[in-house]
Amino acid sequence: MKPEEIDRLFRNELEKLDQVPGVEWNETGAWEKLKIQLKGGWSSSMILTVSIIVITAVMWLVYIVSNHKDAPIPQNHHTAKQSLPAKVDSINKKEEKKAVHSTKKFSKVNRLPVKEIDTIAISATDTTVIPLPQEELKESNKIITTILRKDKGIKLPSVKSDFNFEIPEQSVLRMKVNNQFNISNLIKSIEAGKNAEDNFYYYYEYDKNFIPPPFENTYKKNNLGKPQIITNFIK
Amino acid sequence: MSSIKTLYAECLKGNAKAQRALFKAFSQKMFTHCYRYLRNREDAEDAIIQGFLKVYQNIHKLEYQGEKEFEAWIRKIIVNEALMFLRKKDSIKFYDHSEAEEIHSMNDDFSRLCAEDIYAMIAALPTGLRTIFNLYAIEGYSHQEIATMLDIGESTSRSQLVKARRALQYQLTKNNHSHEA
Repeated sequence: MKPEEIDRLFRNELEKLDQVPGVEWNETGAWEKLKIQLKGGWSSSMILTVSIIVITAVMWLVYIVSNHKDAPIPQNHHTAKQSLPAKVDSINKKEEKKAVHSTKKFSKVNRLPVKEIDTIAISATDTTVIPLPQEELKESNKIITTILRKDKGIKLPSVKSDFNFEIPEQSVLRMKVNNQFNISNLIKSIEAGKNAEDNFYYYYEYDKNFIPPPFENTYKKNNLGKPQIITNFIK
Repeated sequence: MSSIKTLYAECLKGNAKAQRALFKAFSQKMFTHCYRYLRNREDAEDAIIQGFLKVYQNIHKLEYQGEKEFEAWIRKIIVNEALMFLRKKDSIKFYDHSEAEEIHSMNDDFSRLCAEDIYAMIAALPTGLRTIFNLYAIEGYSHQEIATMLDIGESTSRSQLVKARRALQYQLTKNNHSHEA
């Protein structure tokens, strides 16, 4: 027998065999394992794809957020236009109310048109002292006297003698340092003070014979160190 | 016949049922081949699993020409997997080729030997001889191909084949005489 014949014999005999003698083939078990690997293979590629997408998205979000933080606060034209005046209005209203309340109260008690320009306190906290130039203070006085004359049409012998708004040189105006600090707000405060003074004129108009008693004003520092007008009636 | 072609077509689409059917159709036969190389049930099973994974992943590379060709392609993949297992285990050990001797011609009648006996004889060979004999005599690879596959010299492949034949001849004669007795 030639070597090639041995090969052929073995090959032919083995071709007849469909299973390993004495060894069972667990086809179902092997398939279960293969199925897991097949699913695992697909799912791992899917997991990889999904994780790449998620990582990219997260990095993109982080990038956007970091840029957003670094960037200046976006100025929304609409909100800027709407909110600021509304804020200013509300502050002005509060301020007005406060000023009217304080002056009316003062007027009711003293029945005198007293105005403390130098102690207009818009806010007790967060305030700072700003020396107001003397020229500006004088300008304020002029405005007040003009308003009084125009509105009431009352001849006043002398504004200065009746309503001494002269403010000592050392006086200061307390105003909150913010974007509302301007001359228009100052005038609003003065007008509020004027409303208080109307009480005085009410009496004056009600009783035509009412003659305001002669008085003189002096200045005195109150407990808070603010200058205060003290009116002394001359009997 | 056409069912295998259908299975092939469905496996191309990634149909799980077709994959299962293909596994059922060929796994038993492939296990027989694999076991002939590995002689270990667990290893053979793992090689089959890895081999079929490759079959499903690379089925698009094959042009269907017939059932036999398809089976041969699967078998080639499975045998390669088995060889990879052997390489991983570093269990292929070859005898010194100087010991190789040509087999003298035999005039015995081996018709009484059954396939199971033949299979057992091959399985009883040492790993190196068994691998070379399987690749050359059963699978039909040339010595050059075997040398490349196993990263050995062609002369080593030849000498190992001679040794394997000699061992098998001895077993054949022994078994034949025992059957006669």
